[in-house]
Amino acid sequence: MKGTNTSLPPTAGFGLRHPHVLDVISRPPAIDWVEVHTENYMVPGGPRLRQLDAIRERFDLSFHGVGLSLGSVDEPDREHLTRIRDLVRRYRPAALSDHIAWVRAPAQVGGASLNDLLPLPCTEEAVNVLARNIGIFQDATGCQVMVENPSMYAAFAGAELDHADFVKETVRRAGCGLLLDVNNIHVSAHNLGFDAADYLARMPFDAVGEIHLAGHAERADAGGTLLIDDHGSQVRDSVWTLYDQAIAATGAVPTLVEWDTEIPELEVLLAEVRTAQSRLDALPTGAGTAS
Amino acid sequence: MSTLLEIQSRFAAGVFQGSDGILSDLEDDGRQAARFEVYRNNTHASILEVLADAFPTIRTLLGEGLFTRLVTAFIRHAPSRANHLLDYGAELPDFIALSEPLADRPWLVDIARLDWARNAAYGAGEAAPMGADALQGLAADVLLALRPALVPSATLLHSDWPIHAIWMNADAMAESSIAPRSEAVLVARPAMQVQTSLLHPAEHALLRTLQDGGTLGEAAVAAQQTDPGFDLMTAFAGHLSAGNFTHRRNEETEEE
Amino acid sequence: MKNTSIKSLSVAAALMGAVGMAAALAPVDAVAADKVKCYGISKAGQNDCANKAGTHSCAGQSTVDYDGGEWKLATAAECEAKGGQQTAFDGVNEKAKG
Repeated sequence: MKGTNTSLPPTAGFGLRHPHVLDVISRPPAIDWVEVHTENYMVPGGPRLRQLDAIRERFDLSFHGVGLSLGSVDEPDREHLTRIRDLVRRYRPAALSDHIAWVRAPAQVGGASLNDLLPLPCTEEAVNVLARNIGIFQDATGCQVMVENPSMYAAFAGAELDHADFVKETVRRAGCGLLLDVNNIHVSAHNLGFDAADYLARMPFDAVGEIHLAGHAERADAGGTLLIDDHGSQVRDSVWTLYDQAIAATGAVPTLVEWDTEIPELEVLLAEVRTAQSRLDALPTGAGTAS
Repeated sequence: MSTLLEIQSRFAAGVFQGSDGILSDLEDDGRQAARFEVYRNNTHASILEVLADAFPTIRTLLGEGLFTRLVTAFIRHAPSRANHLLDYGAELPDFIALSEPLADRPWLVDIARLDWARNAAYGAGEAAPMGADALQGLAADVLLALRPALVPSATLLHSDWPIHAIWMNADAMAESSIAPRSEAVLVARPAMQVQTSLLHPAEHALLRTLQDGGTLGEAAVAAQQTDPGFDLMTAFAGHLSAGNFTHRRNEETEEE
Repeated sequence: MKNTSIKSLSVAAALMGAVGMAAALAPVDAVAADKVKCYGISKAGQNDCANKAGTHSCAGQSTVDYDGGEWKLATAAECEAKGGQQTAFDGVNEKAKG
């Protein structure tokens, strides 16, 4: 395990989604940890929290947020931070993360939530905003957090850094961990026309505390294809290849399979988890120790 | 080079208002408009899904097409200010009330309130139920002076329309016109399951009086005034054993 | 506070009877009972213990299915002028009762 940003076991788990919750409680699969979206538990009481209590008794937890809007020009919402802190106190997750993205419009124009992980321009200004907001996130929760590299469909003009340096610089300046999503690398590289292997090779491997895997969809686009990060199918071969390259560099890192749309039977998801685990198991001893 | 504030403001305007100022901020590869549409669609489709789950009866009554138009308009007029969507939709009933395309179906407003009450009850706070054993052996005047509160998840609804019947049979009622007939409903989640109960008018008077901070004595009188033949004993016993009451937090008549 | 009407005597009897009636039912830990129901059975969506409204994901949507058509809104004043039926919801038509 690398860094101090996670105490998750370096094994494969999956993103626990609503249709599987009751199955997982009544017939716990043989895995060590699951990940949930923090925002789905921001309620005062009721079954959601009780169910997560039951999950927590059996598994380590990773809290993966989608709503802090760390890339917003405004500082993170205080109430949102308080809710995260309260959940962290109740459930003691082994890892806490959010995204290199923005979700909420500037307060100056009303502050509406767009409920999507939106892209940032690769500028110094954006890196500074992210570093400031990640710092606030870490101070408010008392945790070293991880941020996830984005999947993108469009890029902004006027970039001052390239996509890999943008992520690297953000993690360095914020002093946080990196949640390395290899499917996002593949999707962004295809959509924006950069080299996925080169981007991956330039990631700060010492900061990687968790890896994400997921499927994506292909859609026709002017003169080619657009990849949509829909987490709606099995992990593609191209993404498994990138994953092998990633863990060769990081060593065994907690690895998560995400499946969010067209959610299959639990058994299908567990088969993906086993594939990831077998790749972790196949790592030679000492992999990733050289950097 | 635009500032981040300018970019994010124009991006949001592009998503919600359909303005195209943002396109000049994007890398010009001839596909930027199509690419921006992906983001626009993500926002609308994901929020549509959230509201479809929160308002299943409204969706059934309106059908997919009209429901989608309603939600698209709602997102534009009253977007979420919070970055979690568990509370998003509370204003949809009021929005329906003002929506001209739905003005010929006035029952939809109260149905939306019923859907919302059920959605809100699911994640509402918990409170220790007032048990019958705690009340046993109390002197009559002490019992009459008690002010039980409804559990935090409870919503009392009273409508000029048969909202419980519509909620139960939404599939069959999507196309039909509905005659006015008053109905009252209690939505509550005393333990883990959301309960939706049709209330006798006297039972509604009982619970309403308690919700407004009245004593058990006042509530019982209100119920009997509504219907002298009402079986107060069975109704109160039912709510008590269902766990629908809790102790009021302090002596102030504090409303949730 | 002090209510000594005949009516209150009869309601006192009914309420005390109700307490006895409710207490006679075996005490049930409702949360525990619901946990059995909610955790034990069936697929999600088939019971009231499962509700996914408001749940988030960090995935993109691969279908385009929204409609940006016009939607006309009345003002609240117009709504009231038409008889206010649109807002005949809980708490507003109190006068109509009792």
